[in-house]
Amino acid sequence: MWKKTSPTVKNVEYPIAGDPSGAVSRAYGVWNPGNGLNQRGRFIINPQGTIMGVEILTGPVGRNVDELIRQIKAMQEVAKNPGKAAPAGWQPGDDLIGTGKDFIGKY
Amino acid sequence: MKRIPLLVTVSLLFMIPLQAQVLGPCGSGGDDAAVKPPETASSALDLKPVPLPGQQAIDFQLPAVVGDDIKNIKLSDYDGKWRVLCFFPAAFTFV
Repeated sequence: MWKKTSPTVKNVEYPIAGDPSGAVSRAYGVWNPGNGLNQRGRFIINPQGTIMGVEILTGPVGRNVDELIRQIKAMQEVAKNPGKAAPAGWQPGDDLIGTGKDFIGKY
Repeated sequence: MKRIPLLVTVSLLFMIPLQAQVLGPCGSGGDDAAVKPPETASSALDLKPVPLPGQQAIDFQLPAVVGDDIKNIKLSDYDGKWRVLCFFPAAFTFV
């Protein structure tokens, strides 16, 4: 219904699932028993099925998709370069930094 | 850039199916066994703590709109890919 009536959602290519019993929403802790609605929860899951990032916003506040993409790209780069880190404000294309005592206070 | 499959679940405003799950299919009343929810169902509906980074994502299966079709999908169908699981309060709201 949402997909048929909304001109923007019509273009969505990712799966949109319904969770009418709320079982999945409860399993992920994002269901609000006070109003019966979900919080705006978002989980980044890596190819191995491990949760890498969690963000939960109150319903009336929207997410920042650019920040989501930045975080995923940072996670992908770090996964490709074990022992390296993406420091604060890292942007795709920036160098990763080393970790350990030699790097304390440098970033 | 690699395509990132984005899974979205919407907890719709109506929680009627929850009740339907407890009562069983319409018209199947009269059978006490059908009225009692299975024990696993009640624990599956408990509000759990939010899973944190480092924990294994809980697998699930839900009906989903994929392209122009509706089919059952599992989180594990997308193993081997980066995934984003987004929860929405309701349809017709922003991301």
